[in-house]
Amino acid sequence: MSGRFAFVLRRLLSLLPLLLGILLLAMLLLSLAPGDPARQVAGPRAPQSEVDEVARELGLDRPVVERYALYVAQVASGDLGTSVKTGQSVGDQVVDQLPVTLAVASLGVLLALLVTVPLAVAAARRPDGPVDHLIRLLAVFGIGLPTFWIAIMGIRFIALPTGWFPVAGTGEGAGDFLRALVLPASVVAISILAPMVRSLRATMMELEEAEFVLAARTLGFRGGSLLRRFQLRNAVPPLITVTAAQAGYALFGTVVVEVAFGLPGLGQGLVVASSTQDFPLVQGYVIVFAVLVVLLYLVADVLNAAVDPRVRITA
Amino acid sequence: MSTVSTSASPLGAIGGATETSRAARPRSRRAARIKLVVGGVIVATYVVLALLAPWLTSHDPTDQDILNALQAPSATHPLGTDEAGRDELARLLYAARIDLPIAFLVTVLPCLLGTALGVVCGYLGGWFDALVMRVSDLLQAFPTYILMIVLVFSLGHGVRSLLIAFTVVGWVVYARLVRAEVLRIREAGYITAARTAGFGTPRIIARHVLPNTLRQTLIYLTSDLVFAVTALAAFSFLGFGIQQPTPEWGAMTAAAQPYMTTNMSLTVLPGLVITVLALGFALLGDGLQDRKGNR
Repeated sequence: MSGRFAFVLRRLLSLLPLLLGILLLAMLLLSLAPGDPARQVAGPRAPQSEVDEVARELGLDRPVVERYALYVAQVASGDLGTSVKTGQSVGDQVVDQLPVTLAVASLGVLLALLVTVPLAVAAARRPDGPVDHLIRLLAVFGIGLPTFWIAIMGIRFIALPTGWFPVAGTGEGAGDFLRALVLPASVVAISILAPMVRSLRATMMELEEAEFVLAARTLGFRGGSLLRRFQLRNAVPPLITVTAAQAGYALFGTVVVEVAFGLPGLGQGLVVASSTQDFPLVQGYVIVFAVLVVLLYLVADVLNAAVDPRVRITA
Repeated sequence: MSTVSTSASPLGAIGGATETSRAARPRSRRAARIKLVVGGVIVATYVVLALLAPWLTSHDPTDQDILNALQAPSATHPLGTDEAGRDELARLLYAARIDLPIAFLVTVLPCLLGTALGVVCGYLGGWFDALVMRVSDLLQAFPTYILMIVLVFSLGHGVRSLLIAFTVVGWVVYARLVRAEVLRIREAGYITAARTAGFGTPRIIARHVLPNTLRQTLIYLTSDLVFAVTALAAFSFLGFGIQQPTPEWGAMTAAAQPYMTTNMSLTVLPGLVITVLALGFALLGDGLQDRKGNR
């Protein structure tokens, strides 16, 4: 137990430099942007003295290192800044939008997992059989489907004719919210499915030839119990790894899906913020998305350590 | 981080080494050939259509005709007109002249940069290698697309920003791929032989190391084209990429979304065109991967 705890703690500590790097990158990237942020805040017709005043308030007149230190301190105290367009706190906005994005992305990943396992198992059962070929063909096809297009096709051919799902927005109440998530989450699931199926199929086929599976078979394990107790259990760590990678990708799928379905999530917020040139807002979104991915990988590492003791010892 | 971040490529497990361990089977060799042929025919068709666009339609893809907006297919407009009265067929065809070369560029530029860095890192090692690998760790910790959106936001819309954004994000996978190959090759007998023969490092890298990393890179590059085609369109759909009125499939879809009930084909066709092209590249990549697995 203590070993497990120490592992999580070590992982958490190793994230600190990464988070500092993310903040630095976010700050440097946005300072590449054309135009003077202070001029943007003050407005195009403001006198130069006012622009200088704003720059001082925003700390833009200080050296980069100092700005970075101030920025890190500010974010560490939980303040992501203030939108220059609406004057709203970036943190508040993020907190409002986070649930939608998390719900769409996690539901999408869950759906993808639910589809991946039976498909991959079916494909690996008889390699190069008709089922395997069909599933591999579907996987190849799935990679090339543009996410935004599946979303629009879903609206046009499912949401509009049946009237089961809202065409845009999340509606009122928990029931509407859940119904509004069905199509977006399905689209996200489709967009991340193919690599997961391919990866699990390959793992299952390798396990088919593993010595311990052969041994289990000699001992009389067959069919379902062989699959569950020996093959699937050992297929979990690589599945976690590919799922984590695809879940990171699902976050972008969520951006596209939120825009297509008009869902008020982080992705739509980011797109709107960047089209209105709202620097602090964009910066805040970038950090939130990056932190989400970092946390995602942390969860994957911890899960891997939980199911596979070897990871705890070597890492 | 180690277990996850290395596989966090945009395409996840595509072209991953996991699928190569299967023994050769005549059936999958035939399947590989079919994939390569079908994929090749699809991609070649797109290239030909893009080249011949001016001869296949007499319309200018950006000519507006507001009075004839959203027309149904007719003799003059075989696929109808879009929301600004532009000929849909002409736009679909001319978009190939935008999407294809840009998709190609946003794949090849990261490949070149990544290969160069990968070779230097793998062959020379040392502090430069450590630095490049740490930078790539940091880049991979970022969600790829968010990083690209930020870059495009910071650099302003347009093709130049797209090229930079895709290159900054995309080189990592190539660098890691090539670096790993180089590390494997570096100790091979023929490299030692070349060194013993007195060849300099640049010559050994160019003549003996690089050619041996090419196949793996090429397979990944082909799969990466799938990502490039769909990602480019997605960026334009979100309003970050190529802007209207320039014909581009993703931007066309976004512009037509409000009219999807009345003029369905305006949203269906561009996506279909992207899907088939992406399928072509995917089949090529898959065929190459299968064939390699059988060697």
